[in-house]
Amino acid sequence: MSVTATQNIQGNCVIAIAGRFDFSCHPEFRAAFSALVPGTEVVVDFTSTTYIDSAALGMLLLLRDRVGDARQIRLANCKGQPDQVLRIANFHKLFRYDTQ
Amino acid sequence: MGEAFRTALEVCCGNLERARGLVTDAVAQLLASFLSLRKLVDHQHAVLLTITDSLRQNGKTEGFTGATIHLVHEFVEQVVRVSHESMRIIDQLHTTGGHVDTIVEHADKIDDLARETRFIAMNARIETQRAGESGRTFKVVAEEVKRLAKASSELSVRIRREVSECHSSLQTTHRTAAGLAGHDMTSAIESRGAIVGAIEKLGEVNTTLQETLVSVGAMVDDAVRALQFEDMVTQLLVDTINRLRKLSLMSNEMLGGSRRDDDAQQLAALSLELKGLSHLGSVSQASVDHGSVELF
Repeated sequence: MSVTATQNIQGNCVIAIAGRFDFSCHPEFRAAFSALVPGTEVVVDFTSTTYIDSAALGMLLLLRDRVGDARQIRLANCKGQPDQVLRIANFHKLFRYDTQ
Repeated sequence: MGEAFRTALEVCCGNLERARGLVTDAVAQLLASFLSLRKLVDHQHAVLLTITDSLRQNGKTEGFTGATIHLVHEFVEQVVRVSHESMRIIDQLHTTGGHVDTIVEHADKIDDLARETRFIAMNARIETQRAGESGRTFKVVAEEVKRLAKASSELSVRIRREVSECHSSLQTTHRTAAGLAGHDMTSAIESRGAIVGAIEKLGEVNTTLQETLVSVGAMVDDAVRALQFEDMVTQLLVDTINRLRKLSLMSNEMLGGSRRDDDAQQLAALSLELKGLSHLGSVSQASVDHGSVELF
């Protein structure tokens, strides 16, 4: 697992998670979004994410609390188990959502 | 010979009477059985319909399928809510942990100050010894400063001890919250899939059973209708028995040896009666396939 935060050409924050997105990612994920100011657009990239658990869902909600609005956040390139979990938790309706 | 002929006819009549009795009894039993079967089939069909109704979305009332899936979603919602709250607590613990680290930094500074104060007190003691009698009062001050440095050090140790306790409490809370936050969601996905699959399968089985029951019901109806032809069979048997009886009487007259005119007239009358039977109680139906029972 590794969490990387970069900026895309639109100036949005892109947080990419490689491997398992679970509780152990919390310190890195927290560091990635702690500097964000409310209203920033964020892309969470699931291209290389292989697994997520409920702690990941909790962290995404923390991110929403930080940004202030779930529609400012896009969950991108969701597939496989992460896609299934995000859908069963209705996150595909709560956040902006796209699959790979 | 005449006697033998008459006896044979009587035996035929007797057999036919018994056959009629057996057919009537058997048909009555069969009818009763089929009607019970029909009732059971209807009951089973009604039970299956209630299952189908509860499986389907029935108006505003949510069906079993919807309710079960709703339950899984509610469970997932709860898990997500608990994870969110736990992650909030953990976030807060990180912030609190930061404050505790600052307290440790302050304790380090108290240690530094105590060390410096101790050093000053030691220098003051050396100076008071060097000053001799005139430095005696400063010696008391130097001792006091040393005591304060020691007290500061002890305070710093107590702060560190408390901070250490605080750290271990934070870690325990962190572990508890982490346990609440992280749950494998695979079971929820699998449960939902399994429930939907099982309900679909149940629906298929239910449909097949209903179709089968409808077919069985139709077959029972056909059987009951066919059994109503028993009336015709009985009628035919009665007709045959009557004819045989007349034949028996005729044979009696014919073979009795009498040649009287009134006997001949009686024979002619019997012959007419026999002919008359052809128009009485005739059953035109030749097969049960030809349609409904004709009442006569």
